[in-house]
Amino acid sequence: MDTKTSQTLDKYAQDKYKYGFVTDIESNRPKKGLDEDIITFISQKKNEPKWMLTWRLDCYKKWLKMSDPQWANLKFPEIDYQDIYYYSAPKGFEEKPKDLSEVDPKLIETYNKLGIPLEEQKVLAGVAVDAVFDSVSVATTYKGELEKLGIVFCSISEAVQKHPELVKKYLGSVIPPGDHSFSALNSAVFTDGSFVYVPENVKCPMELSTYFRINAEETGQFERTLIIADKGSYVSYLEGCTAPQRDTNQLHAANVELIALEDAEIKYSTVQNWYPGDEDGKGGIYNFVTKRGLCKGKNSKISWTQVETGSAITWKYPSCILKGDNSIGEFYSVAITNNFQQADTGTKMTHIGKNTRSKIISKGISLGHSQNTYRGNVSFLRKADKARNYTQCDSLLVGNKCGAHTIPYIDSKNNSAIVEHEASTSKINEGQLYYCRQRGLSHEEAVSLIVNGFCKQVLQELPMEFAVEAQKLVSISLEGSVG
Amino acid sequence: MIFLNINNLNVSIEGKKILNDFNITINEGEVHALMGPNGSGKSTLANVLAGNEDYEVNSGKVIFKDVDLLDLNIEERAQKGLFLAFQYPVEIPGVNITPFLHASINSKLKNEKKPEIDNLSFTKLLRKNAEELGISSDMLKRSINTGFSGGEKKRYEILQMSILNPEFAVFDETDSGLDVDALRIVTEGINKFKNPKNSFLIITHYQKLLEYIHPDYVHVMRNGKIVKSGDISLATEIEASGYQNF
Amino acid sequence: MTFENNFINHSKEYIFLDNDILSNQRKKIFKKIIQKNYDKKNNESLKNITISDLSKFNYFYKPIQEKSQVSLIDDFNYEIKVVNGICKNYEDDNIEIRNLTSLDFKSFLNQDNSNVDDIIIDFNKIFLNSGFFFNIKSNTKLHIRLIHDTSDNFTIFQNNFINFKKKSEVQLEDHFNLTNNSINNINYNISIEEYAVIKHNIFQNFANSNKLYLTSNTVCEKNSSYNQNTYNFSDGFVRNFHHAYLNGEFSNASLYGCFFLKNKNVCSNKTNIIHNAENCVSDQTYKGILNDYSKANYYSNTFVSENAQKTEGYQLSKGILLTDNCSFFSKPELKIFADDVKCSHGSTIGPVDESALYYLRSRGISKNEAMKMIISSFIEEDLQNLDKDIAEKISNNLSDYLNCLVK
Ligand SMILES: Nc1ncnc2c1ncn2[C@@H]1O[C@H](COP(=O)(O)OP(=O)(O)O)[C@@H](O)[C@H]1O
Ligand SMILES: [Mg+2]
Repeated sequence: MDTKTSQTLDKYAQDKYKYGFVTDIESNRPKKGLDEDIITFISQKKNEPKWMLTWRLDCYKKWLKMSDPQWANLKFPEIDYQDIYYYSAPKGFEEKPKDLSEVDPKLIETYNKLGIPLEEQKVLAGVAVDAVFDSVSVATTYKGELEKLGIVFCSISEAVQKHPELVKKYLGSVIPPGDHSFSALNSAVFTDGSFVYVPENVKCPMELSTYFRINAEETGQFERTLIIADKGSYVSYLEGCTAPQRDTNQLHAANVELIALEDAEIKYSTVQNWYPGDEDGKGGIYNFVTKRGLCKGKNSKISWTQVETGSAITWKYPSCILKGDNSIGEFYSVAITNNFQQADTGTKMTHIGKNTRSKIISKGISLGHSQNTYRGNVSFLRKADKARNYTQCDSLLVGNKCGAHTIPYIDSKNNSAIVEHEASTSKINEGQLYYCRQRGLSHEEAVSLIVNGFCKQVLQELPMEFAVEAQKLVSISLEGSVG
Repeated sequence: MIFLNINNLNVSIEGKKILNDFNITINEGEVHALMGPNGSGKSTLANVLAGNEDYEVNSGKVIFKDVDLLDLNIEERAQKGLFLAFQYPVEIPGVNITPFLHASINSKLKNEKKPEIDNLSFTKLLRKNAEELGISSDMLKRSINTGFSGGEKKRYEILQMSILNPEFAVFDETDSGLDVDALRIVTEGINKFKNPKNSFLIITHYQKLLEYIHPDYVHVMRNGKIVKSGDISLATEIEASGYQNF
Repeated sequence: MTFENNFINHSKEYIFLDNDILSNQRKKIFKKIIQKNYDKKNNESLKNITISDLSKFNYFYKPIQEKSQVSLIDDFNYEIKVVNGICKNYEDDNIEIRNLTSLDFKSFLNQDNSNVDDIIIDFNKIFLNSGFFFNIKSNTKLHIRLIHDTSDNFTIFQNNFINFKKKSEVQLEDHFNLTNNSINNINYNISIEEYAVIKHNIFQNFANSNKLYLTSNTVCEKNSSYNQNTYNFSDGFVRNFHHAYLNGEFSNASLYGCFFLKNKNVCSNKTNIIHNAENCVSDQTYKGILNDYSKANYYSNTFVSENAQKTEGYQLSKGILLTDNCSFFSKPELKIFADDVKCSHGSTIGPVDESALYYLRSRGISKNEAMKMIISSFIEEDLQNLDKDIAEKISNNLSDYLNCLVK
């Protein structure tokens, strides 16, 4: 590595996390640790019906018997589940505020700092936002417009109250609580998250967005998102996340379930920018997320796009179960790791129905001392006639202290199905750097530009409305290269 | 002002000596042609001028516009007005020319303490120059050099030069791989750009190019040094009987 | 017969029995297996292997020395017959051949570089009953044909050592002559010294009742080259696990394989190349055709350690599934810890290319013929790099396979 490259690396290493501020707000939280009392407490706080509490307690019992999955390429100390707060709400949130005049101005200020205005006059044009602060949903914008179309966009706590039949039917139907320990844990203690229901033949005219923010110290965030797209409907959803800079590790174990019925389409985009820890690997979020979509009906489509730049540890495999004939699953991913970050991320495409198609485009960039692993599973079951998968995963290494790993599992039990997989790993191309610099770009600008070009296939999948916002969130890791 | 002076330049790569006490002086507004057989070190010279870090400068001096060029890094040289049209322009997938060249020209303007050019004016300028070079707007939308034919790549280089407005441009075999029509377009582009303030070093294999661009001087290079200098008649001589007489 | 009974009842047949280190090792591994102290689910070494085959097998072994032989076809052309894991001790200017038992124990331990994370190798270590040691001398240029002859009902646990000395240039062929009900657990430790160039062709075609677990661990030193080609036409179960360590600069290794399965054939494959030095090149390519109810898996792995800069590592796997009832699993891994690398893998699984089939048929070629042509073209290019006689042998086997297809 030439000296220029290492200088640029150092520059990257020094880039500070912009969203690391803490909001000084009093929070309301019970004791640390996990037991049936805490779960009952959460359920009571949310005013939940009995069936919900029973479900939670069942999941808790399952969790007690499970141990954390070990197969990922990650190293971290064992998580002490008794040393975490499972519920934290800004004071005064016993009831969700009816409008923003009831919301603590400090909170609104927090979201403004993050570039997410909640005041009605400033709301992001064409984007409905549900903001989740620690364990509770703070505000949902554009609610009126959505209601006119029959679209339900609210916090999951609210949905439990107002749409129990939908929640009962679909919660845990895509990710069974017994799937693995993190899904059982989330099912037992989830605090808030978003719920979306798009009725038959409705194309949601705006992007729906949730913004997650962990503020309180030593708090775990366990949000639960459930999106149901009824026959012939369409919805695009974006999730953004940040957390303050702290030198202890915080746990985030979300579950996201998507259900697309016949002819429906769900587009789910994530720009994940949890605090990654400092240059020495201290602090940061442990992000153990289970995201799974079920293409239940014929001709349905689920598309995941993720830009992962944050977290000390990322363990995340947004997946598609392609059950309906002709259904489509897509996964577009950029994962950038720096310093001592570790990411083990990828997807799982399970082809069950006939003529199902899936596409995977994954771009990994490793810098510093980080470890970046793509793990993907593509399987064709016996009945998946004429199913197809195309996978392309490319890794870029910047510096010789990091690692890039590609671990695909490919399983075919159907002879008319076709899977094509391509992968490459290389360092940043010196010839390209030279060319850019000959045109007057600095070394750092050149690196940014080339890395950005490398990710283009994925970045262009993000919804237009979020282009600016996404760029802001990505800019820290790709300083100067987006644009 | 000394425009460009190369004095006893010795260069090696991986321990192998390539340039051997190389000397040349180029003044403002002059066009020089450099000819020589394959492997004589022409591209090496071009790359050493541009600052390619693969080459090791063992000794010698290069003065460009009164400063020691060898003290500058690649981008500083470019910002100072040196442009290299590459023999083999590299493909950069996913990167579009518009933001790329916009950043590029602004880096130069900033270096010259001039105001930067805004997005709109830049896009207009780019379109206009592209049209003159017969580059379609479709081609402007593609990633840099990606999937371009040899001729398209060369035209793209000239387009970039026309935007960046360098004081000193080095063309490394820009003519090779071009058919007659493309050669005409490229040379027209170069001729149009030529003025009393800027200078060219044209590296070529064939006399053909020099029929379109009239050089003030022609140099013949062999084994890492200039063995003969003269005017256009040198090129005719080479065309007739090759390099063996040099 | 259970695993425990085999372990206790047959201990007299094992070699190096009187050595403390080895017998302790045996006991330790035995314990691990008995207590099931291993991950059964995600264990690559157990993929497509019936565990009961391993725990309950009929152990039968009796060394027979007299039939083994070394014949010289000409000065540089050897045919070595290994009968039930035993070979003849022999030495000339080119080569030294010894039975494992005549090797001193220390050099045995020193040279054993087999992967410990493999249950098949664990079994090999416990039941070790045969093996040989070849020393190919410096600067020789040889052709060696090695015939493994296992008698009916025999159970072979064999550990072999082959050292190719500096600048040797060898073509080694392995042929397996298995008749009935044999179990062959064979492990190779191959060491290739500086500037040696080795071509290793492995040819597998035997009847259904036999099982072959073939493992190799090859260490390449500076500027050496190892090229392995495996051809599997067997009806019996085959497990091919091959590892190569590029420990010296400018060395290269390629592990190629083809398998042709039908009926209920099962075949498990793994290749693994570890780059430990700069400027090395590796290639892993496996191709398989699966018919009827057959089943296969292929693991490949390129590991590039931190100091192995300027590495090039390539992988490719292609599977063609001919029926609805066969299945193929592949897992091509890249684990990269150095930055100046060019690594890639490609993997495809699918039916015979429909458009090619259509094209050929539109030219008047029958569907069956067209199928045959496409399938043979699948490995044609690989055959071109082989010597004529072995290429011919493979062609013949391939046409037998294709003829079965058509009926
Ligand atoms: N990257 C390189 N590594 C090793 N040798 C090189 C490299 N680039 C050029 N050379 C050698 O330097 C000599 C001069 O090459 P070059 O400058 O490209 O000549 P020309 O452009 O005149 O054909 C040739 O012998 C060539 O092989
Ligand atoms: Mg040249």
